[in-house]
Amino acid sequence: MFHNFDFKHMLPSFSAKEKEDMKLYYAFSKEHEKEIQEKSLKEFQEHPIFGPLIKNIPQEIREANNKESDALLRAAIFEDNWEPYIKYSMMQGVQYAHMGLDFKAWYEIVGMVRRYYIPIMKRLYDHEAERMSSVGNGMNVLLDYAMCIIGESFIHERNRKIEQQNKRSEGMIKELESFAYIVSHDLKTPLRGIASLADWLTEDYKDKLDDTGKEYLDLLKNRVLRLESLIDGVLIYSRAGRVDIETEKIDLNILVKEVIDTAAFPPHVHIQINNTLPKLQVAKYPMIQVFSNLIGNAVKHNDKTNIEINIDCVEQSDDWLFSIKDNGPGIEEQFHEKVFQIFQTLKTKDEMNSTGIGLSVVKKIIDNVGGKIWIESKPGDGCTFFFALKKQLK
Amino acid sequence: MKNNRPILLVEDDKIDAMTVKRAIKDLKISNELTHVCNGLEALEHLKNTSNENPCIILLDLNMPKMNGIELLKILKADGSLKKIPVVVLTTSNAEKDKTESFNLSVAGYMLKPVDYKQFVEVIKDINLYWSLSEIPD
Repeated sequence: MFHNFDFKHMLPSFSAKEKEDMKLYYAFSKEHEKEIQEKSLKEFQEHPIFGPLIKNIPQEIREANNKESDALLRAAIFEDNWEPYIKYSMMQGVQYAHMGLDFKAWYEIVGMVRRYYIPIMKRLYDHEAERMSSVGNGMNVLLDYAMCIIGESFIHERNRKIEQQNKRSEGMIKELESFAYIVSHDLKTPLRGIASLADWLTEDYKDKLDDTGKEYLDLLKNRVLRLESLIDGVLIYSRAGRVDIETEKIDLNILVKEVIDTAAFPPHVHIQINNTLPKLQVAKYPMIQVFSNLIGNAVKHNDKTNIEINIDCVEQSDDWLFSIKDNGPGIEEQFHEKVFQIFQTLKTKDEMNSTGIGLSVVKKIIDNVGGKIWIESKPGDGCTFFFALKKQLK
Repeated sequence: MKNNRPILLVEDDKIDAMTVKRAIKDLKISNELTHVCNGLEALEHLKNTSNENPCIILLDLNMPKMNGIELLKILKADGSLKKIPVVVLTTSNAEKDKTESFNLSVAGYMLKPVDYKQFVEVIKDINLYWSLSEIPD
């Protein structure tokens, strides 16, 4: 896109005196380059943008780049051949823009290097220091300008794209919300009608219906209730993906205890929290869903007369590893991933009264914060759900 | 209900209306039930001076022609109608609908359960509350 860019009008023209000054400045900066580099290295390495950049680009490439840029700068100053240097600077600007560097950050870096030059200049050149520094500034301004002129157009383009994307996803969230609303209202109204009519048939015509007729109506009502929980489940699933929910500092010890208390399990269910759980910056309601679905499943699918559930949390270098272990029937390995898909159940839906949504909601919530969830289990030997949450949550 | 004026039901779904009627009958609530199918019909009914003002209005939200929120806006801006307690009876669990309704001074917001027996419980609770609470004349 730049091959026919007109450079002529942006080439600088300098007086003889200015050219001499530039040569002097170049010689000065070359002489003290190493010293300045050493002094500013730490600041470069700690810079939020240049730090990783330095880390990621191999030294030999950086040196080669510097060499190239230096050769072009020499050609500009000593042979008055500015075009290649300006072209090179422009491309550098484009490259930086691609790496996500904005020009405010670039000016910070330029300013930082100048700060190191000025005391040396003052020390060595004393009365000439000011003039030298203005030459340096002039050259840097030229460089900045060359880098920015194209780089900034890139940044504009990139920002415009990001803005467009944001608008599109905002629109999608709104659409999803109105979809959820339609599902909840418009599907439930006829459903309620079917349920009521089935109820009234059973009640008003109980003398006229035989056992088979009554059984059919019971089955009909049962299906209606299942469809109702499916609708609710789909709504929960679609809302679980929302990213705009506000987070707060949550003490998981309190949250998990509340989840267990609310569930009001029968006395043969023993739930043990073995470690102190962390306090995390999370959205509260999704976190409740995660624990209540996982604990609820561990109880619901358990086939033992004495149900034992153990909740653990281990701190790892980057994340918190939670586990919820039960003494239930376990899950065969071939189903370890399938159980997280929506509408997947391992038993017939009548048998367990499940919708196959619970775990898919849990997975969606955990995926959304950049976490991971998986199962370890052998059939007949209980099942452990693990999930890891990053200490620095998204 | 605290007094014997009719209950006004604003509801477009035929079976939902039947459900409320049946629940009122099952609960032996003696107030007469007037049923209209949308906000416009409700407004016509209320504006007609030959009709007795209802003791409460049971209001569905999602209706054709004039929905529940639109009707509420008109009622609450009307000096003589705004004192009538309105209880929203809807399927919508959306926060937006709840907020809008309470901003328009509804006296309650009840979700219609799918199960008929639970529906009866909801009507029973509404009746109980409005048997204890005073209602303006």
